[in-house]
Amino acid sequence: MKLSRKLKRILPRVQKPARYVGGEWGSVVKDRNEVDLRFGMCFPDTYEVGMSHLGSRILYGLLNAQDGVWCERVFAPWIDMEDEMRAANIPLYGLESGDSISELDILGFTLQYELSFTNILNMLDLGGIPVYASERKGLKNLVVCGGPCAYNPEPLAPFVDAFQIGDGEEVMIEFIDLYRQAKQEGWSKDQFLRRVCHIDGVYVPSLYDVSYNDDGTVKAVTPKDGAPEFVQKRIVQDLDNMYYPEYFVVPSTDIVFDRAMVELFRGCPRGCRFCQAGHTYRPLRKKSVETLLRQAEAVLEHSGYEEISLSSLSTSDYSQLPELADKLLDFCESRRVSLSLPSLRADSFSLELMERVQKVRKSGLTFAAEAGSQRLRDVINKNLTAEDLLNACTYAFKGGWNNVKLYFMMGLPTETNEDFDEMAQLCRDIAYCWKCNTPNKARGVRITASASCFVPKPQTPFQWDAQVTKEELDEKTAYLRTVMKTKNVTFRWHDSDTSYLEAVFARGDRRTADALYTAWKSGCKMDGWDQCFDYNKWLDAFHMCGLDPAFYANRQRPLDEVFPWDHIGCGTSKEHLKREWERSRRAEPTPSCLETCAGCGAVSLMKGCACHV
Amino acid sequence: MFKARMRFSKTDEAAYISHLDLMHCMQRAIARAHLPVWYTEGFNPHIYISVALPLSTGYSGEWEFVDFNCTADEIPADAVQRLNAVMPSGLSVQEIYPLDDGGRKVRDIAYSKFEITWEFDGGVPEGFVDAANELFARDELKILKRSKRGEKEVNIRDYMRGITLEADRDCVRAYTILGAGNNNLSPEYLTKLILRELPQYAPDGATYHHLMVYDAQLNEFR
Repeated sequence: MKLSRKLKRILPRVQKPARYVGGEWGSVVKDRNEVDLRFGMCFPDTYEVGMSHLGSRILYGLLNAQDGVWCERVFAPWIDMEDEMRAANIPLYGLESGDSISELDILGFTLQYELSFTNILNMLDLGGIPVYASERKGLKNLVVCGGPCAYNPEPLAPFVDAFQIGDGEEVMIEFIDLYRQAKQEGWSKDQFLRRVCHIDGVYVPSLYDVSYNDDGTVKAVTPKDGAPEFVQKRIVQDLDNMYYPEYFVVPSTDIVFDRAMVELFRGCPRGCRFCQAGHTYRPLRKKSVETLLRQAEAVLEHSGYEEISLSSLSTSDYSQLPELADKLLDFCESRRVSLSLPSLRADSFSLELMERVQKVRKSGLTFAAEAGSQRLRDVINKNLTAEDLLNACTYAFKGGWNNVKLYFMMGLPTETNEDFDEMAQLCRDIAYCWKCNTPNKARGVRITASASCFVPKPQTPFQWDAQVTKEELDEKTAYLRTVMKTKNVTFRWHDSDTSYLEAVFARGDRRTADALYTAWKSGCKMDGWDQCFDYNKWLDAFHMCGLDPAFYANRQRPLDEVFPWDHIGCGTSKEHLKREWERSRRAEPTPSCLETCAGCGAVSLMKGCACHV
Repeated sequence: MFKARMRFSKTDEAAYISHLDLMHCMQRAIARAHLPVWYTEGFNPHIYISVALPLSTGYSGEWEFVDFNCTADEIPADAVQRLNAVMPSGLSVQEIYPLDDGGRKVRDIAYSKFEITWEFDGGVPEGFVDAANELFARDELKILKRSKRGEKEVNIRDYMRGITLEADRDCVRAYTILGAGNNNLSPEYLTKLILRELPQYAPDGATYHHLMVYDAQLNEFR
């Protein structure tokens, strides 16, 4: 982009100015006079975070592959840059053109986590665009959102013109085609919204009225002007023929995940009951080995990246993983590219594979055990036994690894102190396992157990469950600290305040939008960053809006409650989620899709074929 | 295998790429261009390069160097073209040449030529150029110079080999040769000096462009 004198003057004063200038290899610059649709792909967090997001890369490539469409990237400036921009009167701009985002036709925000919501309002405001949808009268600056948090779009309803639910690759094209027609034929915004709501997977919140019961729960969500009663998510059925970018924008400055990526499959066969991705990305669809090799080669060739990572929710469940890994390794070794395999299961096959792949120093192994006892792991349907874990550790310690991280959650439904006792025992067993198996005791071992706070998410079997209160969490943490006293085991825990806020917005209704607005007005932004998060400002905002955050976070919801997101479909049926909730109370696991079909209902989205199990 | 040197410019957007990031950019561009270069042979093989005289983040420059090891018999004839086809915006290679006898050593670099632009949004104030010329002609210009070894009072004139000023409509450009390498002086001290000695003419902004490097005898370094 062309840098103005004004911008050049502030850039030397801010941290990491390379984030704000564009011009990276692979970024797409078109002639603004030769396009009829300008799209802003907005990530409501910093450049380093947003540039690491695969979904945005896919849609960026897809949109720019369309004739007449120019898609730019827009990120939230860090606070030092925001202050400078506001002081110098520089509006938020797209990194390709440097033009204010108010020049763009559509602003598409990806919703990856609830704590980024204030950044959406802040970014619109920085671009001089009204944050409320009702105050944006024209077709221009249409605000569209998609991504995981769109499965409960309600807290953002007043700010957003339309949501795209589910896989974006197909619905995005239908959406922009209609927008281009609307622009050409001079439709009003209302006209457009009333038409676009009939594209499958598009939810226009202003076309739905919400009524409430006396107790504050939702009574009904009623569509108007002919909008559909239920918006089912979109899926791309055939990933082999789906658009995938053969080029990546290669950042000129360090980002969080700075590597090439290929996506193995969508969906997850495991069905962990706390996991939103596991229930909203169904049905399982995978790419063939040939497609993956071709795409990996293209991306590496174009980007010059020295590392490639396989992306999926559960890499070990890719049925041709050995074949794929062999072929990829051949290719990578000849090019001196390293291969990384995240999300592997704790079994010996995976570890052998990792050992083969990681010729680099044996840094650390991470196991997501999630819960300390077998009973609780059955409640949450985490198909992992202590035996699996110890076998994997035995293998790893024998092979020279000496750094193991364990992830746990606190505050899971039905959890008691006995589960924590077993968590501590598990850590002791692992420490003992190291002692028995390590070839070199002198090197020592580092076992880290971190516990985060469970956040019940919509569209999961635990959507009915209460998040434990802050007081209860504090008690749990205190108890855990007394039992986690093994030598060689470091215990870390997360602060519960952000998890509480996350819980409110994850299952919030339209009224929580007021608190969001109020909190943003009082200065809340970048809430996912410790140095910015201000819990008290948030509590004040809820109070000022007459809302009780505990109503959303800490209330056990009855099985027949109407949820604010009941009119949004994630593929998995509510009946299945309910069944899973009931099984969880009996600590009854549900086998993975690879063993037997649990009847989640997502297969109905696969027209004329089955899940790729 | 032999040593090779690439001369490049770093302007516009690329001016904001930091030194460490520049190394990554160059390594990836070389990988994209499939140049025959030597990779390190440790656990984590990467293209071996070294950047002479890194520019401060935010400075642009047009006489910059990266050294690397070439594994072919000679540098491919189209190497410059291939690299420039895959560079981020603002990075551009001018020439690549072998360092037959080891080449000029980076430690021979003694001076840098800078173009400093002092911006005046309301037009260049009358009297500024004369006042600045007078200022830089003084025999003694003491400043507090900061380095890794701490602060020290020095005379700028000991580090300067001439300065000429050119006035434009809304800016004044200063061309000056300053100590580099072991005897480095940041051109920002000249701006600081103006702010201190001529506060009535404080410019609204300043940019720095690196034009050339020299050895101790003021021969062009390449």
